[in-house]
Amino acid sequence: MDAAQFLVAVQKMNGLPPGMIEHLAVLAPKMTDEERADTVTKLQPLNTQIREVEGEVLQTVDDEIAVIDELTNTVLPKVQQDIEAGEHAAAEDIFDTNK
Amino acid sequence: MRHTHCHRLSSAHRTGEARLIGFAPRQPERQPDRVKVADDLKGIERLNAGQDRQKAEFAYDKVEQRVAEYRSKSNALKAKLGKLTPKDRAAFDKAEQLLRSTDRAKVVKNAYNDRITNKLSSGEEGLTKAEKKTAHKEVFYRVGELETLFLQVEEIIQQVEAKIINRGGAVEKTFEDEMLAKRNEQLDRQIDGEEDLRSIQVDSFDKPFTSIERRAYHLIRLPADANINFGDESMREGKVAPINSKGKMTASTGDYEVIMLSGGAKYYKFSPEAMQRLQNKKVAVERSNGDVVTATLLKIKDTGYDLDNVVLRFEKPAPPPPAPEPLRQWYEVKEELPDPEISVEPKKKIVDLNTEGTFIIKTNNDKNPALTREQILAGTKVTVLGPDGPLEIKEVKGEGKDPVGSKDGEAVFLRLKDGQVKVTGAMPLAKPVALSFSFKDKGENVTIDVKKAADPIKKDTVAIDQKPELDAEKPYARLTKPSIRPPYGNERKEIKAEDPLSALRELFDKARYINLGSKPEARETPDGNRSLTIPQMEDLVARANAVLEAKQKELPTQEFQEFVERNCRYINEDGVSPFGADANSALFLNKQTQRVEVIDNVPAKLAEMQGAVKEAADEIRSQLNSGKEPSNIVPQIEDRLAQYRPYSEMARYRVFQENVYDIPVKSGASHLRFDPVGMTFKMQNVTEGGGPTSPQEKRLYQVTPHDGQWHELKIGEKAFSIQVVGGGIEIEKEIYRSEPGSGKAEVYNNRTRTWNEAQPNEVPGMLAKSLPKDGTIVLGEKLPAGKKGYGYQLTKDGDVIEREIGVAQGDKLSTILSNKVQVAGDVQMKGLSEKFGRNVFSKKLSQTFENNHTAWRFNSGIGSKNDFTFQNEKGTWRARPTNETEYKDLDEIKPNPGSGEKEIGQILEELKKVNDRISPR
Repeated sequence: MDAAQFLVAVQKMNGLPPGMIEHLAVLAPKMTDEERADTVTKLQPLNTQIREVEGEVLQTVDDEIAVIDELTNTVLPKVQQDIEAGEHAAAEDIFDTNK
Repeated sequence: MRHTHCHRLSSAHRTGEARLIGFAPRQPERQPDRVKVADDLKGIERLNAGQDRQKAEFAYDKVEQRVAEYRSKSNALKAKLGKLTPKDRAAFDKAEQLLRSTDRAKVVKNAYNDRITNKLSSGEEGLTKAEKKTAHKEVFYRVGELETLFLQVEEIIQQVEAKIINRGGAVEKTFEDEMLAKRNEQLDRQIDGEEDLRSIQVDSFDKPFTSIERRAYHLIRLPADANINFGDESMREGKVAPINSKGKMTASTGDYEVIMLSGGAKYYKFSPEAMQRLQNKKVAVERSNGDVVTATLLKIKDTGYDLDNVVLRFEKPAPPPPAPEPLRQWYEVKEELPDPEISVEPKKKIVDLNTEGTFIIKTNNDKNPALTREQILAGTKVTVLGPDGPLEIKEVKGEGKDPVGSKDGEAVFLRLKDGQVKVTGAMPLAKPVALSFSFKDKGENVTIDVKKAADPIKKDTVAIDQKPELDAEKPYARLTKPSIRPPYGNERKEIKAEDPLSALRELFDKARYINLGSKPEARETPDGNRSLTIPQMEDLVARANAVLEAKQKELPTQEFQEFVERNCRYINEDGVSPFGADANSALFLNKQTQRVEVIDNVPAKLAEMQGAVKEAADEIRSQLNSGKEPSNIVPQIEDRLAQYRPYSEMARYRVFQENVYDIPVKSGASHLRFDPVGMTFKMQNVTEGGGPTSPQEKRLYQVTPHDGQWHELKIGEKAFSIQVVGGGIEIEKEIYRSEPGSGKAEVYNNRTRTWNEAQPNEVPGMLAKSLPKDGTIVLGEKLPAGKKGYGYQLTKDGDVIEREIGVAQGDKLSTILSNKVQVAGDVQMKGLSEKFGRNVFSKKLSQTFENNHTAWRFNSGIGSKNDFTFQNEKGTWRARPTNETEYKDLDEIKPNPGSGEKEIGQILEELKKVNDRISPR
């Protein structure tokens, strides 16, 4: 694998951080064809995994955030409203001398 | 301290962590053409402009941002949940479970990829609570896995670099070096601003050793030639479970693993179990040059993620002993000094040689010659003579602040057995001062001038005897500051001089809006107020105490205490008068003596209290460290603070605004926290797990019934003093607070968990009783079945209204105290008469809250024609038809004919009376 092919292959590894891609680009001319091919072979599955895990993290987090938002904005206010209603009722009880 | 990071080391960028931190942050200022590309590659699309690269950069940024957002929202929810009672929390959990079992949960589940979905959908009911926890963990496993993957990429790059270097080639790192330098600067700024353990680290390796716990193991990086000696701790070296690509932990074969890195460093990787054993233990770090440093291995919480950092805290050398405080030194009396003799002669009265009391020395340098700075600092022999010889002065404390040019100087004279007086020169005396001793003797003021024998002071120059006459008609008018919050309306009622209650209120009403000064003359203060003169202040105190004395003789003890509470409370609690902008003096109600006092040097008093509290905290710490239980040591130590309790309101705003005296009892879990309100320490539990702390207070004291003593009882954030008497419990006080100089007071509203502005006519406190006729009450146990409680409410007029509390049978007393009685306390009757309250308040009148005020809603029962809502706004009742939003003056409210008309009219009339009484119309 020549340097140009290596560079194209590395650039397609969009799971890698830009700093690493650029560093590999700098290293490319100094590597042998065999080293370049070997490196790409090793990096490609890692790149795939990185993309997968990034997606999983984002998806999991986004879904959790959605649930938390629901709990925060809907469920919790309802519970607090119930508490207040209960306290109002208790206040009435306290001063209800006919009870 | 500024740190040099490991990342700054010349070879550190080779490490995986360095690459991670280098890549993670976006660098907007980065130059696009920085990378050097070989000529034969120039034809290829620009590296920095590639769309894929932008996507990649964005993707990781988004991971960071979203994880941070998730963490933040999760913490916010936890914080809100922490304020719910267990019962309400259960309701929330049920709702949460329901939510997660319905459509929302399905959406969540379907969104997971197959692997996670399979794992989480094993239960029939969707995401259970445990599964949620798993999902939560999954996020951080994935973040850890992500970084592990980058480490693997890094290793591959390192291998490539090594091959190039072995061939004699150079590896350019311009881009990374720059990026790392920027990141290091960021980290330095961040760490410099933190007050965590890293900022106090002292080590011989010129860097802090931190790493991130990946949930499966703990990493700490050391220089390559450094080794950890675990001492007696049995540690097995072997492989430590990494996270595999599936996010699972693999089996460990050792307690720790050493991983050599190519950049002149090594990782020590600890298993969670080993870390549990090792944390907080001392280890030795040995280097190849023979250096051995002892350090403690710690885990500290990383605030950004739900991860722990592992650090080595190196032992500091013992600090040098503090230099003696020169201003606290006692100065020995030297007899050989010139001009040594100072004699005292009684001016008004022959001093009783056995008189005991606090002698306050006031100074006035303008007119009187007196001791020079040199004389006092060097130790002048002072002989205090009475008519029959040396006076028996037990202890003399004085101050020499402003007149001698001292900011907060204090001179203390201590009586010696031979009649001489020892002087401490805490004041940098710039000018000569005159001294006079003033003290109480059997209730009578006694003044003694101090003069040098060779240079007697003329009587007409003694400042303390000068009492300028006040304007007879408006004695305080010129001193009264425009009221921020007029307590009884803009136009004051005529105060009958013979009415001691009115006179007392009048006095303090004036005192609260002026600055108290220690100057001989009234002066204009920077904020436009005028200060009281010393004679005026003393006159005020004398008159107030005369009223209190008369009342004390007239009233039974309990009623007298209530009288004091009603009429004097804002001296301490309203906070204006004690802390005038131009004054160090304060009027203060001493709750033990039930008399008004002048504290001459408030800063000194506060410093004394602060010192006492710090000393108490230190001693508690010391005893806890020696293994004693808090309940065995805290009460005794608190007793020593009891003398300051009369001034605790002052203290809590000035000295202890932050609860700085936190003492860990059980590491990471429980704390003793100083509560300045009662000068006590209370126990708090701090929840673990990385979220915000959720204090769960525990009582320190187990109250023994029928002992007739006062005890502290804290429920939630509300503090009471309780007294167990005859099977009943009395609650002494609500909590009020105010900010100095604000002119406002606040009352804690437990129903809404907020501090609301207290109204001038607000009921000052509430007494509540729970009075089972027989049986024994132990806090936390159930009331005997069939017993009912009675609430007592103290009105503005001093009336105690008794009300039966609808205590459910078998209710826990703690429930009654924390809920029902407090609700009763929040019922702001605003001076409504007992009769009115009994007759009119019925089921038709319900309490509500609007705009943080208590309001009453009247439901006529038929339609809504006569449904009205009444609200007290800053001391004045207003009303609105319930179906409208604007409140109106009561005069504008006209009841509609029909049901409820008569009752509405009655309510309006009563409320108008209240308004009239509070604010003359």
